[in-house]
Amino acid sequence: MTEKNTQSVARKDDADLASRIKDTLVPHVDICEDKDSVTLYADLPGVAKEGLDVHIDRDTLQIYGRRVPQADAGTGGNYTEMPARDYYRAFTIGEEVDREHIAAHLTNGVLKVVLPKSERAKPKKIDIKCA
Amino acid sequence: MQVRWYDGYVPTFNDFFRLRDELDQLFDIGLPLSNIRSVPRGTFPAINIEEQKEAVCIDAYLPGVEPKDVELTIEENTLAIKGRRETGNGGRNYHRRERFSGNFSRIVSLPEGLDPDKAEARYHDGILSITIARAEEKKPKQITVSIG
Repeated sequence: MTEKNTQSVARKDDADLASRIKDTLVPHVDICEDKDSVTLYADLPGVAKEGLDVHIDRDTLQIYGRRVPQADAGTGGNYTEMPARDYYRAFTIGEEVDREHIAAHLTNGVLKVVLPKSERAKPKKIDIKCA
Repeated sequence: MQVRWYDGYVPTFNDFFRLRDELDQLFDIGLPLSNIRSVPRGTFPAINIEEQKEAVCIDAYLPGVEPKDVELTIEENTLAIKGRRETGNGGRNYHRRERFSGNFSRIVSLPEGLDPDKAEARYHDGILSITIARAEEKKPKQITVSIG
């Protein structure tokens, strides 16, 4: 699966990213939708604002979070459940997302991305007229 | 999955055994020989422990948790991390719910000889770092060798 990802990214002439996503963790996400927008929450513990890269390329939303190396980090842990690796995850998004008004916030290691729907993609109620 | 045709690892197969162990961990099928206190993959929060010369550092991965919602207690030589994380958004339609939501609690056994009075906790970018200093008399001491 990793191989497939790498190839599809490489096709987009982004060999740099392909090499960067090789040893990454897949962050857990929640994705919910209402009539105005699709909202994504991603757990990125250890990622500061400077290390975060949220990228939209045509129909792909890419999230890359770089772990900030800690100043007091020692030679390596005795017990490790979470290796200090970068995070990467990508999603395809549909035509209905208004690319110009996407907003991203990072608070306490949680990324929130709001993808608003364009006006014409929002559901409309049709009035029924009685003759 | 735990059938072995050799006692212990043979150098040639080290990488294969390691790979198999990692796959076992990945799918949680290392049974029936898993540690009685081991936790399943994806237990929240994930914890890293590092023993340093002067202290023991425990990192708990708690993204999106307010520090005031976490309760840390040291008793005997165990550290308890308890709290609550809410990820709900008031009944909106979910496509994916992978993030942990609800009450969490983890107990960590600490090595001997720590000084609970010299413990401090810091929260940054979703990681809670707990540092507990070693008691003075338990720190490793260097002995100088004199010639003569």
